Amino acid sequence: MFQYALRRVLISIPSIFGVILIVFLMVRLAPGDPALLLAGEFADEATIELIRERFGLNRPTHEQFGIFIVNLAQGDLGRSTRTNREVTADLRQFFPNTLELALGAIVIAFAIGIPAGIIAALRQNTWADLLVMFGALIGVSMPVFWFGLLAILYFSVQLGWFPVAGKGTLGHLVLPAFSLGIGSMAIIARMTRSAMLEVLSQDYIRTARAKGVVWNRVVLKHAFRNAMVPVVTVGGLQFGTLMAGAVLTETVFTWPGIGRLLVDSILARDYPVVQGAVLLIATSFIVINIVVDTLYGLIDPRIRYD
Amino acid sequence: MTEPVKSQSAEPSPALLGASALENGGAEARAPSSGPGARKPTPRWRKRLARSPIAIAGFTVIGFFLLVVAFAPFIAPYSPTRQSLRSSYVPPMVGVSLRGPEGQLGLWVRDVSRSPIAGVQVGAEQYPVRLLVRGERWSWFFGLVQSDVRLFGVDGPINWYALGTDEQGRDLLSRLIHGAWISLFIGVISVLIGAAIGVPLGAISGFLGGGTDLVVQRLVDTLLAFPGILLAIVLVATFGTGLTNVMIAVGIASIPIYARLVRGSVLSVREREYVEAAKALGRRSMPTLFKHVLPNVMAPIIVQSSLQMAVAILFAAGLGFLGLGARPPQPEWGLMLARGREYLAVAPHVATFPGLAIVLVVLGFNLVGDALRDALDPRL
Repeated sequence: MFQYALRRVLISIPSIFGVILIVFLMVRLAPGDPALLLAGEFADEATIELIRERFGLNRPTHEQFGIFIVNLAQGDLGRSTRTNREVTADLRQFFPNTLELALGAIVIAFAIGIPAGIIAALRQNTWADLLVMFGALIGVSMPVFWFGLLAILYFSVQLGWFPVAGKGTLGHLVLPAFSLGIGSMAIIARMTRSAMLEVLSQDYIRTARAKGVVWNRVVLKHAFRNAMVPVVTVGGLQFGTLMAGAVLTETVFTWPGIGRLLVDSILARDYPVVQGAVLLIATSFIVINIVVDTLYGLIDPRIRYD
Repeated sequence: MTEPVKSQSAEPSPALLGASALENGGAEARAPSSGPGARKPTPRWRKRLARSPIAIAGFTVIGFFLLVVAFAPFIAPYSPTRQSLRSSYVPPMVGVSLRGPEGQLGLWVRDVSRSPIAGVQVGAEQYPVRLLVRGERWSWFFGLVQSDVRLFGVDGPINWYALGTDEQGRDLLSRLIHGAWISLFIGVISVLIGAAIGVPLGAISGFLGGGTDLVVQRLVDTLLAFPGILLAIVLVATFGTGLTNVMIAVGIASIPIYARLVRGSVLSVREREYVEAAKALGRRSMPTLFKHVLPNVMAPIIVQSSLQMAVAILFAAGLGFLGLGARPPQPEWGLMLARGREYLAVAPHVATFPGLAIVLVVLGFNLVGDALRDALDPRL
């Protein structure tokens, strides 16, 4: 497994390099003088000159890229043009919040998606199945931000169950995490249903029933555990996608995460922060997928990594 | 031995390829004998599609959507840009009298009673909602058709807002109807961009293999490292906001998905006998690829395109919502939703209805995509 993980990391190196290149090119391809973009609209001549010097903006592009990578390796992404804070400090402050939101979302998605999928599979072609499948279809067809707004309106404004926005108590997490997780929930429910249907038609299920095992036990012990393998993988890969989905959810709920930081920075043309946020989201997506792929072997011992 | 499953949708099932290969590949083999005179039997997948309730539901929704796009000025009761600050945030189904109780023109009287569908009652006077009512003039198709007859509305000195009005007193329903084309346009253009670049890229990568494959796949991996909407956001952040850039950004974001899908399909098709035969007959690789291989991987591409329309519309609405997409006063649905956010508690209808419109259209394309997959791949 270690070898497999290592290989997975090696394969990802070109991707990470590509991500760095795209982030590097963002500022160079955007209309306008890169030095001005990195220094901010209201910077004076001296600051712009300093930025130009520091990022080597008057040198050839390939040298600029080298400087960019060296700076990156030293954890230097520049300073925000709005707050003048170190970009890395901003990222360190906002990233844990996004992680918390995404974790909450994936927990809710599994907690509701799996039972819903199992019920749909056990009651195939009944109204319960139809309801779950239709719900899942709505789940993937719905804009998260719209669901978030309606949830705020109903559960926060009218019923007063949850706070309207912001971060703090566990109550603050419920609505954003649920809104963010709804798409993954739908995918997990569909996946669980089809995996369960496939497992339930296997010979060993028939054998278990034939030897007199109680049906509930067959479902839970024999079918469920085998059906979970693909579900957990797909669900795990969803976790990475949630990091990007958080961009919309965080805006709706004014959640102080990296997605909102990204959008605010784009609207304010705060390019150093935009670069940092994009780099962090994409890299964490790659890392999460490597972890999920590797852990796959732990839940399914039939898999050999070689 | 097994590689972990990467993603459910990335690799098409062999049956999906098989279904089309049987039909197209078979036709290919018979090509010399089956001239225009020979009658082709209706393909089995099309029969399955016609019987599927999912397909019927999906095509109905999309058909309705297309009708709305095509005849927007006729269907919409009012102009999408006409504003009246006196009647901002009017709730749904409520009418606004143009003449106040004292007789002043243009005064908004709140005492217009609610009346469901039937019409509006002001004092003793009743103004029913009728079909084909004379209203503001509209022009259609670059001014080719002009008229003042609208599909439905209220006759009289009354404005009637089926879905209420927004912050500037513009009729929400009319704006939704006039904004429909934006969603359709973004969807179509971005799918075309994604397919036009992604399909050849994936096909060449899968068919040639070797170094080309390696380079293309690393490129695709890099693009796939930006999950979901992030790549579109990155592109819009670089090249600027606005509708055109959103279309291009969402299109580019879908390139890796097409490339991955087509590569997987081509890999399994290129080992088939008819490809072997084409090679044996001395066809060079590019003509073989485009003449024999690509037609047989169309099925997954078509399925993906329908699902991709849904994704593109969602992404575009998301970008509009974030303020990175369409700009006001364009009646783009995501942007309208964002405007409704500020007065959510006072006027929830402003945010509710654009969202419903998005759900409906996206649902339509998802239904069609699912139905197409079922029809083309009966094993699933």
